[in-house]
Amino acid sequence: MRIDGVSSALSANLTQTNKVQESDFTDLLENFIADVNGDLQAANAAKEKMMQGDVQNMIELMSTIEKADISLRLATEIRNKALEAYQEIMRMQV
Amino acid sequence: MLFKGLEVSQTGLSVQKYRMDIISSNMANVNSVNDKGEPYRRKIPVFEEVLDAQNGVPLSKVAIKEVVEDPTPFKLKYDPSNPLADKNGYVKLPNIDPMREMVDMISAMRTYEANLTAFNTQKDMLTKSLEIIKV
Repeated sequence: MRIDGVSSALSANLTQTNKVQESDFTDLLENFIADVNGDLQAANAAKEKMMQGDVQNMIELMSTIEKADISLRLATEIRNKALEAYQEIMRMQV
Repeated sequence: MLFKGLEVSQTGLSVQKYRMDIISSNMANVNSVNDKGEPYRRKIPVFEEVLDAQNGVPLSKVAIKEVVEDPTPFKLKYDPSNPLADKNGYVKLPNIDPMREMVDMISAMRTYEANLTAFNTQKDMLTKSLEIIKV
């Protein structure tokens, strides 16, 4: 029985996935931030409407604000996590 | 995608609010006639399922399909002095039963509360899942 070395195939595979993941993660983050921003802008528009007193649908208003709140919380948590990882790396002994 | 459940509950809330508006209209017009001198007819909202499939999961929102009029006959009241009385002295009154409207009101209120609870549970679940990423 012959056993092929896996190291070359594995490393090639690894670099490839790394590349893909890198661009993927950037895209993901950008899309996500755009999404959160959209939610926040919608909530802001809803707030403006409320202040001007032309609220057609109170429920819609509330849920828009709530969605923006959850999106922002998630964004904050992801930011915290990324920052934490960065600080962990910076603390590394050289 | 993330907020689909919230949106479904939101349509439930809107629809019940609209139903409540119609009940208010029925209650307010318990003694009204329209511009042709005909008594007000009780209005009934008809709800409709709106399929909003997501990744093969058949989620359904709800919407108002139409508002129909109750075809039951008008109530008759003997009141010969009324200017709208017919030649036998009877006046036609709207086919609204305040008791029935009260029961509908309770039903609308409870359904609204149920939808609100579903909304808040969804919200709590989303907020809870954020705790995964927290330290």
